[in-house]
Amino acid sequence: MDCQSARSMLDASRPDRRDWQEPELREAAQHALNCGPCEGVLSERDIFDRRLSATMADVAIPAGLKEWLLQTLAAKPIVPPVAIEVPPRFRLSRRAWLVMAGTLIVALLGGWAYWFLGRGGVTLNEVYADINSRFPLTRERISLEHLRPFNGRFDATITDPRWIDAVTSEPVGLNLFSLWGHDAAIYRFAVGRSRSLSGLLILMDAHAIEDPPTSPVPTRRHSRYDPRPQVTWRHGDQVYVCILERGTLDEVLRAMYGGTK
Amino acid sequence: MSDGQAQIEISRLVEEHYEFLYRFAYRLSGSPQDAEDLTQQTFVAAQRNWGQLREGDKARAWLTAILRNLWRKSFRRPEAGAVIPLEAVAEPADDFPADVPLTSEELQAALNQLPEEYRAAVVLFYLEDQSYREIAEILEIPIGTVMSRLSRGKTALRRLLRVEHPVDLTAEE
Repeated sequence: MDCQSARSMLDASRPDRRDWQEPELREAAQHALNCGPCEGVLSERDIFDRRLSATMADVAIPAGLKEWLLQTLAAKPIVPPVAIEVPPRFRLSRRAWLVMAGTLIVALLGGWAYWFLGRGGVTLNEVYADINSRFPLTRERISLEHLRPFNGRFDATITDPRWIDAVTSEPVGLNLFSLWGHDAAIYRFAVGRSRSLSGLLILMDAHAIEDPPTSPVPTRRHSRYDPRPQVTWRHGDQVYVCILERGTLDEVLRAMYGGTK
Repeated sequence: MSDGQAQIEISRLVEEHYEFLYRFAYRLSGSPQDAEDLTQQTFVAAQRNWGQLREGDKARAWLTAILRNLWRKSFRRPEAGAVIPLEAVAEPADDFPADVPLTSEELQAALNQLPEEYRAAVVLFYLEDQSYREIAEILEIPIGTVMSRLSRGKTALRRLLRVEHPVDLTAEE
């Protein structure tokens, strides 16, 4: 400890130095006892502190103050401590506790089910975001090997007649916004001459989407943030999203619909 | 305890502590009138809250805490212009003359220039020979804070008092 710190700390001790044994001051006191300059400064401070103590108490007490105080207090009735009635402690019966615990558990399970087993619905933008994050843009073919065969709660049979013959695989399932069964089915498709245009066809239940597309024909999604061209459309209760792997969107639309949408 | 006994106890408290409380109040406020009112209101509050005093030997600390709180809440004067920033005076002053003449008025003038939180700690230290632990209990602040306030407050006081002709910062220009 340096001199300045020791002197600063010992300034909190009384002039008779009986505080020097206190744990907070022990180290500073040890320094001061072995430091000539500090000992000198502290001795002067002690002398000054004693003089200041005497001067501090040099305050004349007004004549009659005590009597005035006593009269004032005598005039004021002493308020006896008020016995506060503590209401009997509210106690719940065992049955009430069980009901409350059951309600709490049901509420927690309900909340969990709402958030994890199936929310009220998702927006199309959320679906796009989820798909784009699951299938990042690469030059390689998108791998679906890690996905299991579709076992969702809706009928994932392709009903759009133009696309029935385009699919080249059995559907695999995807959990986009629910843990309770698949909520999207993914097919591979290939169209065009020699089936040179290919990609993924994602099929969802329109009722599970808050803002399903209304157009019955593929509509280009206009967003510069989408990593790859996508189109979406609705057919009956089904929503389709098409992701291209090979070829251009115009080529696919021309092959399927005879023109650019 | 009956009302009569309580009245006797209150009177005893007045007998034992009124002088100290008045001096403490005077050094805090710098005004004899405020000091009288503070002392009176302290005892009135003590009488009103008589049941809170659990240990008789803590009566002085209890009364001191009441007075200090009353002062902070009701009696403290606006300090703008009167109090100087502690940094302006809190430089190390190891060469102060121990035999500098010091009157009660000069001391009060210096105290009036200390910020309130430092003033209360310094006054308790000098007036009652309180340890920093006792001061911490009365002011209801941590020990480390008290030590810091004592060190800085005392240093500032030494700086203020070593000036032979102190500048009167409270005087109007």
